[in-house]
Amino acid sequence: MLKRLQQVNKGLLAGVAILIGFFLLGLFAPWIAPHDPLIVNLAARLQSPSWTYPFGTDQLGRCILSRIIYGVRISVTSALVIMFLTLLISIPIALFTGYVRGRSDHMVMRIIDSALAIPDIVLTIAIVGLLGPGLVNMVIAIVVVRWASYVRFIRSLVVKISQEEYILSARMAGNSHFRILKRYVLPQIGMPVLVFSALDMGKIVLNIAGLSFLGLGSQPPTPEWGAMLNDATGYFQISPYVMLFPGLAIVLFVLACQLVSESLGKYEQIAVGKEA
Amino acid sequence: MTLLELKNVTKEYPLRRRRGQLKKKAAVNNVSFTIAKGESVALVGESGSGKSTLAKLIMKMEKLTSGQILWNGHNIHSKQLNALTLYKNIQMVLQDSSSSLHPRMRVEEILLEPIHNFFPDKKNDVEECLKLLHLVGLDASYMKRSPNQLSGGQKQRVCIAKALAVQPELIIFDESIASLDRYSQVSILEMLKRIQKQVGPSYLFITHDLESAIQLCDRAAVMYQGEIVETFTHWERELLRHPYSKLLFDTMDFDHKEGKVAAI
Repeated sequence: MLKRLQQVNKGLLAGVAILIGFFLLGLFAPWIAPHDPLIVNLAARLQSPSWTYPFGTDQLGRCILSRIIYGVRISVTSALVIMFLTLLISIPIALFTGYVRGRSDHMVMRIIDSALAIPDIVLTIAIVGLLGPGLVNMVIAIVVVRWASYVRFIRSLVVKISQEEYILSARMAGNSHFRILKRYVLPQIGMPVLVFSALDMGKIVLNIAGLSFLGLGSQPPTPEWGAMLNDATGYFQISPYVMLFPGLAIVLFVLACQLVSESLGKYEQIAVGKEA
Repeated sequence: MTLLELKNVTKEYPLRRRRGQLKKKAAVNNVSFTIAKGESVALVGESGSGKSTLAKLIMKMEKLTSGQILWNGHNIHSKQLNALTLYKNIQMVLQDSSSSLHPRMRVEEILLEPIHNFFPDKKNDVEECLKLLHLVGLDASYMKRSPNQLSGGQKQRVCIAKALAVQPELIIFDESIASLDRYSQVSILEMLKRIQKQVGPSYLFITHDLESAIQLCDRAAVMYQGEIVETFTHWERELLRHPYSKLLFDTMDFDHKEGKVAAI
Protein backbone atom coordinates (compact mmCIF):
# COMPACT_ATOMS: atom_id res chain seq x y z
CA MET A 1 0.00 0.00 0.00
CA LEU A 2 2.68 2.44 1.08
CA LYS A 3 4.88 1.26 -1.75
CA ARG A 4 2.11 1.90 -4.24
CA LEU A 5 1.61 5.37 -2.88
CA GLN A 6 5.28 6.11 -3.31
CA GLN A 7 5.24 4.88 -6.91
CA VAL A 8 2.24 7.04 -7.57
CA ASN A 9 4.00 9.99 -6.06
CA LYS A 10 7.07 9.46 -8.21
CA GLY A 11 5.01 9.59 -11.40
CA LEU A 12 3.11 12.60 -10.13
CA LEU A 13 6.32 14.35 -9.12
CA ALA A 14 7.97 13.71 -12.47
CA GLY A 15 4.91 14.90 -14.38
CA VAL A 16 4.42 18.00 -12.26
CA ALA A 17 8.15 18.79 -12.46
CA ILE A 18 8.10 18.65 -16.26
CA LEU A 19 4.98 20.80 -16.42
CA ILE A 20 6.42 23.36 -14.01
CA GLY A 21 9.59 23.34 -16.11
CA PHE A 22 7.52 24.18 -19.19
CA PHE A 23 5.67 26.95 -17.38
CA LEU A 24 8.91 28.49 -16.13
CA LEU A 25 10.36 28.30 -19.64
CA GLY A 26 7.35 30.10 -21.02
CA LEU A 27 7.32 32.66 -18.22
CA PHE A 28 11.02 33.55 -18.42
CA ALA A 29 11.41 32.98 -22.17
CA PRO A 30 13.17 36.30 -22.89
CA TRP A 31 15.86 35.53 -20.31
CA ILE A 32 16.27 31.84 -21.04
CA ALA A 33 16.17 31.79 -24.83
CA PRO A 34 19.63 32.27 -26.34
CA HIS A 35 18.35 34.14 -29.43
CA ASP A 36 15.40 36.14 -30.63
CA PRO A 37 12.99 33.54 -32.09
CA LEU A 38 12.02 35.76 -35.01
CA ILE A 39 15.42 36.94 -36.22
CA VAL A 40 16.24 35.51 -39.61
CA ASN A 41 19.84 34.63 -40.32
CA LEU A 42 20.02 33.10 -43.76
CA ALA A 43 23.76 32.57 -43.48
CA ALA A 44 23.16 30.07 -40.69
CA ARG A 45 20.18 28.18 -42.12
CA LEU A 46 19.55 24.49 -41.41
CA GLN A 47 22.52 24.09 -39.10
CA SER A 48 23.03 21.06 -36.89
CA PRO A 49 23.13 21.53 -33.10
CA SER A 50 26.17 23.49 -31.98
CA TRP A 51 27.16 25.60 -28.95
CA THR A 52 25.64 28.73 -30.48
CA TYR A 53 22.47 26.96 -31.61
CA PRO A 54 21.93 24.05 -29.16
CA PHE A 55 19.00 22.63 -31.19
CA GLY A 56 20.22 23.84 -34.57
CA THR A 57 18.49 26.33 -36.87
CA ASP A 58 15.55 26.14 -39.23
CA GLN A 59 15.24 26.94 -42.91
CA LEU A 60 15.42 30.67 -42.21
CA GLY A 61 18.33 30.38 -39.78
CA ARG A 62 16.19 30.99 -36.69
CA CYS A 63 17.28 29.34 -33.45
CA ILE A 64 15.07 26.27 -32.89
CA LEU A 65 15.65 26.19 -29.12
CA SER A 66 14.52 29.79 -28.77
CA ARG A 67 11.51 29.11 -30.95
CA ILE A 68 10.54 26.09 -28.83
CA ILE A 69 10.93 28.14 -25.64
CA TYR A 70 8.78 30.96 -27.00
CA GLY A 71 6.42 28.33 -28.41
CA VAL A 72 5.55 27.28 -24.85
CA ARG A 73 3.80 30.62 -24.49
CA ILE A 74 1.58 30.00 -27.49
CA SER A 75 0.91 26.26 -27.16
CA VAL A 76 0.52 25.96 -23.41
CA THR A 77 -1.27 29.24 -22.91
CA SER A 78 -3.81 28.52 -25.61
CA ALA A 79 -4.26 25.00 -24.23
CA LEU A 80 -4.91 26.46 -20.77
CA VAL A 81 -7.33 29.01 -22.19
CA ILE A 82 -9.16 26.28 -24.07
CA MET A 83 -9.33 24.15 -20.92
CA PHE A 84 -10.59 27.04 -18.83
CA LEU A 85 -13.28 28.03 -21.33
CA THR A 86 -14.39 24.44 -21.81
CA LEU A 87 -14.77 23.88 -18.07
CA LEU A 88 -16.48 27.26 -17.68
CA ILE A 89 -19.11 26.22 -20.22
CA SER A 90 -19.49 22.56 -19.41
CA ILE A 91 -19.51 22.47 -15.60
CA PRO A 92 -22.63 24.64 -15.12
CA ILE A 93 -24.48 22.81 -17.91
CA ALA A 94 -23.48 19.43 -16.53
CA LEU A 95 -24.39 20.38 -12.96
CA PHE A 96 -27.77 21.64 -14.04
CA THR A 97 -28.73 18.79 -16.36
CA GLY A 98 -27.29 16.07 -14.16
CA TYR A 99 -28.95 17.34 -11.01
CA VAL A 100 -32.32 18.44 -12.34
CA ARG A 101 -32.67 15.68 -14.98
CA GLY A 102 -36.01 15.63 -16.76
CA ARG A 103 -36.78 17.26 -20.07
CA SER A 104 -33.96 19.81 -20.16
CA ASP A 105 -31.50 16.99 -19.55
CA HIS A 106 -32.92 15.01 -22.48
CA MET A 107 -32.71 18.00 -24.76
CA VAL A 108 -29.13 18.87 -23.86
CA MET A 109 -28.05 15.25 -24.17
CA ARG A 110 -29.54 14.94 -27.67
CA ILE A 111 -27.70 18.11 -28.72
CA ILE A 112 -24.51 16.62 -27.32
CA ASP A 113 -25.14 13.30 -29.03
CA SER A 114 -25.41 15.06 -32.36
CA ALA A 115 -22.30 17.14 -31.62
CA LEU A 116 -20.38 13.99 -30.77
CA ALA A 117 -21.58 12.20 -33.88
CA ILE A 118 -19.36 14.40 -36.08
CA PRO A 119 -15.66 13.50 -35.98
CA ASP A 120 -13.73 15.99 -33.82
CA ILE A 121 -11.10 17.05 -36.28
CA VAL A 122 -13.52 17.45 -39.18
CA LEU A 123 -15.76 19.72 -37.12
CA THR A 124 -12.81 21.76 -35.87
CA ILE A 125 -11.48 22.24 -39.38
CA ALA A 126 -14.93 23.20 -40.60
CA ILE A 127 -15.31 25.83 -37.86
CA VAL A 128 -11.83 27.25 -38.38
CA GLY A 129 -12.55 27.25 -42.10
CA LEU A 130 -15.69 29.29 -41.50
CA LEU A 131 -14.07 31.73 -39.08
CA GLY A 132 -10.78 31.93 -40.92
CA PRO A 133 -7.39 30.68 -39.75
CA GLY A 134 -5.74 32.21 -36.70
CA LEU A 135 -5.01 31.48 -33.06
CA VAL A 136 -8.20 32.95 -31.56
CA ASN A 137 -10.45 31.26 -34.08
CA MET A 138 -8.67 27.99 -33.45
CA VAL A 139 -9.28 28.34 -29.70
CA ILE A 140 -12.97 28.99 -30.34
CA ALA A 141 -13.22 26.02 -32.68
CA ILE A 142 -11.58 23.62 -30.23
CA VAL A 143 -13.80 24.79 -27.37
CA VAL A 144 -16.91 24.37 -29.50
CA VAL A 145 -15.88 20.82 -30.32
CA ARG A 146 -14.71 19.84 -26.83
CA TRP A 147 -17.43 21.07 -24.49
CA ALA A 148 -19.82 18.28 -25.47
CA SER A 149 -17.63 15.43 -24.28
CA TYR A 150 -16.91 17.34 -21.06
CA VAL A 151 -20.59 17.87 -20.35
CA ARG A 152 -21.23 14.21 -20.99
CA PHE A 153 -18.46 13.12 -18.63
CA ILE A 154 -19.20 15.58 -15.83
CA ARG A 155 -22.94 14.98 -16.11
CA SER A 156 -22.42 11.27 -15.52
CA LEU A 157 -20.51 12.11 -12.32
CA VAL A 158 -23.20 14.53 -11.19
CA VAL A 159 -25.97 12.01 -11.86
CA LYS A 160 -24.16 9.41 -9.77
CA ILE A 161 -23.52 11.79 -6.87
CA SER A 162 -27.06 13.19 -6.96
CA GLN A 163 -28.42 9.73 -6.31
CA GLU A 164 -26.35 9.31 -3.16
CA GLU A 165 -28.32 9.24 0.03
CA TYR A 166 -26.34 12.05 1.60
CA ILE A 167 -27.74 14.42 -1.01
CA LEU A 168 -31.25 13.44 0.05
CA SER A 169 -30.21 13.80 3.64
CA ALA A 170 -28.68 17.22 2.94
CA ARG A 171 -31.92 18.27 1.28
CA MET A 172 -33.84 17.27 4.39
CA ALA A 173 -31.41 19.33 6.48
CA GLY A 174 -32.93 22.33 4.75
CA ASN A 175 -30.27 23.09 2.13
CA SER A 176 -31.40 24.78 -1.07
CA HIS A 177 -30.65 23.03 -4.36
CA PHE A 178 -28.04 25.63 -5.19
CA ARG A 179 -26.26 25.08 -1.88
CA ILE A 180 -26.32 21.33 -2.37
CA LEU A 181 -24.71 21.75 -5.79
CA LYS A 182 -22.10 24.06 -4.34
CA ARG A 183 -21.27 22.26 -1.11
CA TYR A 184 -21.98 18.62 -1.91
CA VAL A 185 -21.76 17.99 -5.64
CA LEU A 186 -19.09 20.38 -6.88
CA PRO A 187 -16.32 19.32 -4.44
CA GLN A 188 -17.01 15.67 -5.22
CA ILE A 189 -16.53 16.05 -8.97
CA GLY A 190 -13.34 18.09 -8.55
CA MET A 191 -10.84 15.26 -8.50
CA PRO A 192 -12.21 13.18 -11.42
CA VAL A 193 -12.53 16.33 -13.51
CA LEU A 194 -8.93 17.21 -12.71
CA VAL A 195 -7.78 13.74 -13.79
CA PHE A 196 -9.83 13.96 -16.95
CA SER A 197 -8.69 17.46 -17.86
CA ALA A 198 -5.01 16.72 -17.13
CA LEU A 199 -5.19 13.91 -19.67
CA ASP A 200 -7.09 16.10 -22.07
CA MET A 201 -4.54 18.91 -21.70
CA GLY A 202 -2.07 16.76 -23.64
CA LYS A 203 -4.68 16.05 -26.28
CA ILE A 204 -5.44 19.74 -26.64
CA VAL A 205 -1.77 20.58 -27.18
CA LEU A 206 -1.70 17.87 -29.85
CA ASN A 207 -4.86 19.30 -31.33
CA ILE A 208 -3.40 22.81 -31.46
CA ALA A 209 -0.21 21.46 -32.99
CA GLY A 210 -2.24 19.47 -35.50
CA LEU A 211 -4.28 22.47 -36.58
CA SER A 212 -1.20 24.69 -36.78
CA PHE A 213 0.46 21.95 -38.82
CA LEU A 214 -2.43 22.19 -41.24
CA GLY A 215 -1.91 25.94 -41.31
CA LEU A 216 -5.19 26.72 -39.54
CA GLY A 217 -3.77 27.76 -36.18
CA SER A 218 -1.11 30.30 -35.41
CA GLN A 219 0.25 32.05 -38.47
CA PRO A 220 3.92 32.52 -39.39
CA PRO A 221 6.24 33.79 -38.08
CA THR A 222 4.69 33.05 -34.63
CA PRO A 223 6.72 30.26 -33.03
CA GLU A 224 4.26 27.46 -32.32
CA TRP A 225 5.25 23.81 -32.04
CA GLY A 226 2.77 22.48 -34.60
CA ALA A 227 3.49 25.32 -37.01
CA MET A 228 7.21 24.61 -36.63
CA LEU A 229 6.58 21.00 -37.64
CA ASN A 230 4.61 22.23 -40.61
CA ASP A 231 7.41 24.56 -41.68
CA ALA A 232 9.90 21.74 -41.33
CA THR A 233 8.18 19.29 -43.68
CA GLY A 234 10.18 20.44 -46.68
CA TYR A 235 13.56 20.22 -44.98
CA PHE A 236 13.56 17.36 -42.53
CA GLN A 237 15.29 15.01 -44.97
CA ILE A 238 18.27 17.34 -45.15
CA SER A 239 18.18 18.45 -41.55
CA PRO A 240 16.05 16.21 -39.26
CA TYR A 241 16.59 18.47 -36.22
CA VAL A 242 14.14 20.97 -37.65
CA MET A 243 11.37 18.47 -37.03
CA LEU A 244 12.86 16.40 -34.22
CA PHE A 245 13.03 18.99 -31.46
CA PRO A 246 9.58 20.60 -31.78
CA GLY A 247 8.19 17.06 -31.99
CA LEU A 248 10.06 16.08 -28.82
CA ALA A 249 8.70 19.14 -27.03
CA ILE A 250 5.15 18.09 -27.87
CA VAL A 251 5.82 14.49 -26.85
CA LEU A 252 7.33 15.57 -23.54
CA PHE A 253 4.43 17.87 -22.70
CA VAL A 254 1.79 15.26 -23.57
CA LEU A 255 3.70 12.64 -21.61
CA ALA A 256 3.86 14.87 -18.54
CA CYS A 257 0.11 15.50 -18.73
CA GLN A 258 -0.55 11.78 -18.95
CA LEU A 259 1.76 11.06 -16.03
CA VAL A 260 -0.01 13.62 -13.87
CA SER A 261 -3.44 12.39 -14.91
CA GLU A 262 -2.63 8.73 -14.36
CA SER A 263 -1.01 9.26 -10.97
CA LEU A 264 -3.85 11.49 -9.82
CA GLY A 265 -6.28 8.79 -10.93
CA LYS A 266 -4.44 6.13 -8.97
CA TYR A 267 -4.08 8.45 -6.01
CA GLU A 268 -7.80 9.01 -6.01
CA GLN A 269 -8.45 5.28 -6.08
CA ILE A 270 -6.17 4.82 -3.09
CA ALA A 271 -7.83 7.65 -1.23
CA VAL A 272 -11.26 6.18 -1.94
CA GLY A 273 -10.07 2.74 -0.85
CA LYS A 274 -8.95 4.23 2.43
CA GLU A 275 -12.26 5.87 3.02
CA ALA A 276 -14.33 2.79 2.39
CA MET B 1 -54.89 15.52 17.37
CA THR B 2 -54.20 14.09 13.95
CA LEU B 3 -50.88 15.13 12.47
CA LEU B 4 -50.68 13.06 9.34
CA GLU B 5 -53.59 11.60 7.45
CA LEU B 6 -53.37 9.38 4.40
CA LYS B 7 -56.55 9.02 2.38
CA ASN B 8 -56.74 6.25 -0.24
CA VAL B 9 -53.16 6.80 -1.27
CA THR B 10 -52.20 4.97 -4.46
CA LYS B 11 -48.93 5.00 -6.32
CA GLU B 12 -48.59 3.20 -9.63
CA TYR B 13 -45.40 2.63 -11.59
CA PRO B 14 -45.56 2.05 -15.33
CA LEU B 15 -44.32 -1.32 -16.52
CA ARG B 16 -43.34 -1.92 -20.11
CA ARG B 17 -45.74 -1.14 -22.88
CA ARG B 18 -47.48 -4.08 -24.48
CA ARG B 19 -49.41 -3.70 -27.74
CA GLY B 20 -49.81 0.01 -27.10
CA GLN B 21 -51.28 -0.59 -23.69
CA LEU B 22 -49.35 0.66 -20.70
CA LYS B 23 -49.29 -1.91 -17.94
CA LYS B 24 -49.08 -0.49 -14.46
CA LYS B 25 -48.06 -1.91 -11.16
CA ALA B 26 -49.42 -0.44 -7.95
CA ALA B 27 -46.63 -0.21 -5.38
CA VAL B 28 -49.00 1.36 -2.89
CA ASN B 29 -52.66 0.54 -3.27
CA ASN B 30 -55.43 2.50 -1.62
CA VAL B 31 -53.72 3.01 1.72
CA SER B 32 -55.35 5.03 4.48
CA PHE B 33 -54.14 5.64 7.99
CA THR B 34 -53.48 8.42 10.47
CA ILE B 35 -50.77 9.35 12.92
CA ALA B 36 -51.65 11.43 15.96
CA LYS B 37 -49.37 13.78 17.87
CA GLY B 38 -46.91 11.99 20.11
CA GLU B 39 -47.83 8.58 18.76
CA SER B 40 -45.50 5.95 17.35
CA VAL B 41 -46.86 3.83 14.56
CA ALA B 42 -45.10 0.85 13.05
CA LEU B 43 -45.43 -0.06 9.41
CA VAL B 44 -44.45 -3.68 9.08
CA GLY B 45 -44.08 -5.68 5.91
CA GLU B 46 -41.75 -7.72 3.75
CA SER B 47 -39.44 -6.13 1.21
CA GLY B 48 -41.29 -4.96 -1.86
CA SER B 49 -44.52 -4.45 0.02
CA GLY B 50 -44.47 -0.68 -0.63
CA LYS B 51 -43.36 0.60 2.78
CA SER B 52 -40.50 2.72 1.49
CA THR B 53 -42.57 4.02 -1.42
CA LEU B 54 -45.13 5.18 1.12
CA ALA B 55 -42.39 6.98 3.07
CA LYS B 56 -41.20 8.65 -0.14
CA LEU B 57 -44.74 9.74 -0.92
CA ILE B 58 -45.07 11.32 2.50
CA MET B 59 -41.74 13.11 2.01
CA LYS B 60 -42.91 14.35 -1.42
CA MET B 61 -40.07 12.56 -3.17
CA GLU B 62 -42.48 10.71 -5.45
CA LYS B 63 -45.64 11.90 -7.13
CA LEU B 64 -48.98 10.52 -6.04
CA THR B 65 -51.11 8.65 -8.55
CA SER B 66 -54.28 9.26 -6.57
CA GLY B 67 -55.45 9.94 -3.04
CA GLN B 68 -54.42 12.58 -0.57
CA ILE B 69 -51.80 13.03 2.11
CA LEU B 70 -52.72 15.68 4.65
CA TRP B 71 -50.41 17.29 7.16
CA ASN B 72 -52.41 19.15 9.84
CA GLY B 73 -55.18 19.32 7.26
CA HIS B 74 -52.96 20.73 4.47
CA ASN B 75 -52.31 18.76 1.33
CA ILE B 76 -48.64 17.80 1.22
CA HIS B 77 -48.66 17.32 -2.55
CA SER B 78 -50.15 20.72 -3.33
CA LYS B 79 -47.94 23.41 -4.79
CA GLN B 80 -48.46 25.81 -1.88
CA LEU B 81 -46.48 23.65 0.50
CA ASN B 82 -42.82 23.79 -0.42
CA ALA B 83 -40.37 21.05 0.37
CA LEU B 84 -38.45 22.95 3.03
CA THR B 85 -41.60 23.67 5.06
CA LEU B 86 -42.38 20.00 4.84
CA TYR B 87 -38.91 19.04 6.07
CA LYS B 88 -39.31 21.44 8.97
CA ASN B 89 -42.23 19.30 10.12
CA ILE B 90 -41.31 15.83 8.94
CA GLN B 91 -37.83 14.33 8.94
CA MET B 92 -36.75 10.96 7.69
CA VAL B 93 -33.90 8.78 8.91
CA LEU B 94 -32.68 6.64 6.07
CA GLN B 95 -31.66 3.01 6.12
CA ASP B 96 -27.99 3.25 5.30
CA SER B 97 -26.35 5.59 7.78
CA SER B 98 -22.93 5.29 6.10
CA SER B 99 -24.14 6.70 2.82
CA SER B 100 -26.49 9.26 4.31
CA LEU B 101 -23.65 11.15 5.99
CA HIS B 102 -21.28 13.11 3.80
CA PRO B 103 -17.91 11.32 4.11
CA ARG B 104 -15.92 14.55 4.29
CA MET B 105 -17.97 16.43 6.87
CA ARG B 106 -17.41 16.30 10.60
CA VAL B 107 -20.23 15.47 13.00
CA GLU B 108 -20.28 19.08 14.14
CA GLU B 109 -20.78 20.41 10.60
CA ILE B 110 -23.43 17.78 9.91
CA LEU B 111 -25.44 18.90 12.94
CA LEU B 112 -24.86 22.62 12.50
CA GLU B 113 -26.21 22.60 8.96
CA PRO B 114 -29.89 21.98 9.80
CA ILE B 115 -29.66 24.32 12.79
CA HIS B 116 -28.35 27.15 10.60
CA ASN B 117 -30.82 26.44 7.84
CA PHE B 118 -33.95 26.22 9.95
CA PHE B 119 -33.07 28.49 12.87
CA PRO B 120 -30.83 31.19 11.38
CA ASP B 121 -31.08 33.44 14.46
CA LYS B 122 -29.91 30.85 16.92
CA LYS B 123 -26.86 32.14 18.80
CA ASN B 124 -25.67 29.20 20.87
CA ASP B 125 -25.56 26.74 18.00
CA VAL B 126 -22.59 24.73 19.26
CA GLU B 127 -24.29 24.22 22.61
CA GLU B 128 -27.32 23.04 20.68
CA CYS B 129 -25.13 20.48 18.91
CA LEU B 130 -23.81 19.20 22.22
CA LYS B 131 -27.35 18.95 23.54
CA LEU B 132 -28.37 16.92 20.49
CA LEU B 133 -25.39 14.62 20.81
CA HIS B 134 -26.17 14.13 24.46
CA LEU B 135 -29.77 13.34 23.57
CA VAL B 136 -28.67 10.50 21.29
CA GLY B 137 -26.19 9.20 23.85
CA LEU B 138 -22.91 10.52 22.43
CA ASP B 139 -20.52 12.84 24.23
CA ALA B 140 -18.69 15.98 23.18
CA SER B 141 -15.66 14.06 21.91
CA TYR B 142 -17.68 13.00 18.85
CA MET B 143 -18.07 16.58 17.62
CA LYS B 144 -14.80 16.61 15.71
CA ARG B 145 -15.01 13.11 14.26
CA SER B 146 -15.81 12.33 10.67
CA PRO B 147 -18.31 9.59 9.76
CA ASN B 148 -15.65 7.03 8.88
CA GLN B 149 -14.41 7.19 12.47
CA LEU B 150 -17.80 6.09 13.78
CA SER B 151 -19.38 2.66 14.13
CA GLY B 152 -22.66 1.82 12.38
CA GLY B 153 -24.69 2.43 15.52
CA GLN B 154 -22.95 5.72 16.22
CA LYS B 155 -23.52 6.87 12.64
CA GLN B 156 -27.21 6.10 12.96
CA ARG B 157 -27.30 8.07 16.22
CA VAL B 158 -25.75 11.03 14.41
CA CYS B 159 -28.41 10.69 11.69
CA ILE B 160 -31.11 10.72 14.36
CA ALA B 161 -29.52 13.77 16.02
CA LYS B 162 -29.49 15.47 12.61
CA ALA B 163 -33.21 14.78 12.22
CA LEU B 164 -33.89 16.02 15.76
CA ALA B 165 -31.94 19.23 15.12
CA VAL B 166 -34.82 20.44 12.96
CA GLN B 167 -37.24 19.82 15.86
CA PRO B 168 -39.75 18.05 13.62
CA GLU B 169 -43.15 16.85 14.73
CA LEU B 170 -42.84 13.54 12.93
CA ILE B 171 -39.80 11.40 12.24
CA ILE B 172 -39.99 8.59 9.71
CA PHE B 173 -37.55 5.75 10.20
CA ASP B 174 -37.15 3.85 6.95
CA GLU B 175 -35.58 0.55 8.03
CA SER B 176 -33.21 2.74 9.97
CA ILE B 177 -31.87 0.17 12.38
CA ALA B 178 -32.20 -2.90 10.18
CA SER B 179 -28.51 -3.13 9.37
CA LEU B 180 -27.34 -2.91 12.98
CA ASP B 181 -26.63 -5.72 15.39
CA ARG B 182 -29.33 -6.68 17.87
CA TYR B 183 -27.68 -4.98 20.82
CA SER B 184 -27.33 -1.62 19.02
CA GLN B 185 -30.89 -1.98 17.78
CA VAL B 186 -32.25 -2.42 21.28
CA SER B 187 -30.24 0.46 22.72
CA ILE B 188 -31.33 2.79 19.90
CA LEU B 189 -34.95 1.76 20.42
CA GLU B 190 -34.66 2.52 24.13
CA MET B 191 -33.09 5.84 23.24
CA LEU B 192 -35.95 6.67 20.84
CA LYS B 193 -38.48 5.95 23.57
CA ARG B 194 -36.62 8.24 25.92
CA ILE B 195 -36.40 11.00 23.31
CA GLN B 196 -40.12 10.73 22.64
CA LYS B 197 -40.79 11.29 26.34
CA GLN B 198 -38.38 14.24 26.52
CA VAL B 199 -39.01 16.01 23.22
CA GLY B 200 -42.26 14.50 22.05
CA PRO B 201 -42.07 13.83 18.28
CA SER B 202 -44.30 11.25 16.64
CA TYR B 203 -42.66 8.29 14.96
CA LEU B 204 -43.50 6.35 11.85
CA PHE B 205 -41.34 3.31 12.20
CA ILE B 206 -40.97 1.36 8.98
CA THR B 207 -39.49 -2.09 9.44
CA HIS B 208 -39.66 -5.72 8.43
CA ASP B 209 -38.85 -6.73 11.95
CA LEU B 210 -41.89 -7.09 14.19
CA GLU B 211 -39.80 -7.37 17.33
CA SER B 212 -38.41 -3.87 17.15
CA ALA B 213 -41.82 -2.54 16.18
CA ILE B 214 -43.31 -4.09 19.29
CA GLN B 215 -40.65 -2.56 21.49
CA LEU B 216 -41.16 0.97 20.24
CA CYS B 217 -44.65 1.43 18.92
CA ASP B 218 -48.18 1.80 20.23
CA ARG B 219 -49.79 0.65 17.04
CA ALA B 220 -48.81 -1.34 13.99
CA ALA B 221 -50.02 -1.61 10.43
CA VAL B 222 -49.09 -4.64 8.38
CA MET B 223 -48.46 -3.98 4.72
CA TYR B 224 -48.67 -6.74 2.16
CA GLN B 225 -48.36 -6.26 -1.61
CA GLY B 226 -49.01 -2.53 -1.44
CA GLU B 227 -52.01 -2.70 0.83
CA ILE B 228 -52.46 -2.36 4.54
CA VAL B 229 -53.99 -5.68 5.42
CA GLU B 230 -54.26 -5.25 9.12
CA THR B 231 -53.80 -2.74 11.91
CA PHE B 232 -53.58 -3.70 15.53
CA THR B 233 -52.75 -2.31 18.94
CA HIS B 234 -52.52 -5.53 20.92
CA TRP B 235 -49.57 -7.71 20.20
CA GLU B 236 -51.43 -10.99 20.33
CA ARG B 237 -51.45 -13.61 17.65
CA GLU B 238 -55.00 -14.72 18.32
CA LEU B 239 -56.35 -11.33 17.38
CA LEU B 240 -54.72 -11.32 13.95
CA ARG B 241 -56.79 -12.17 10.91
CA HIS B 242 -54.57 -11.93 7.85
CA PRO B 243 -52.37 -14.98 7.16
CA TYR B 244 -49.33 -12.79 6.44
CA SER B 245 -49.42 -11.05 9.82
CA LYS B 246 -49.79 -14.46 11.47
CA LEU B 247 -46.75 -15.60 9.58
CA LEU B 248 -44.83 -12.53 10.74
CA PHE B 249 -45.72 -13.36 14.30
CA ASP B 250 -44.70 -16.99 13.96
CA THR B 251 -41.27 -16.20 12.56
CA MET B 252 -40.12 -14.21 15.53
CA ASP B 253 -38.74 -15.30 18.80
CA PHE B 254 -41.39 -13.69 20.90
CA ASP B 255 -43.27 -14.57 24.02
CA HIS B 256 -46.53 -12.88 23.20
CA LYS B 257 -48.25 -13.68 26.48
CA GLU B 258 -45.61 -11.80 28.43
CA GLY B 259 -45.56 -9.02 25.88
CA LYS B 260 -41.77 -8.89 25.97
CA VAL B 261 -39.04 -9.94 23.63
CA ALA B 262 -37.69 -13.21 24.92
CA ALA B 263 -34.35 -13.43 23.24
CA ILE B 264 -32.53 -10.57 24.96
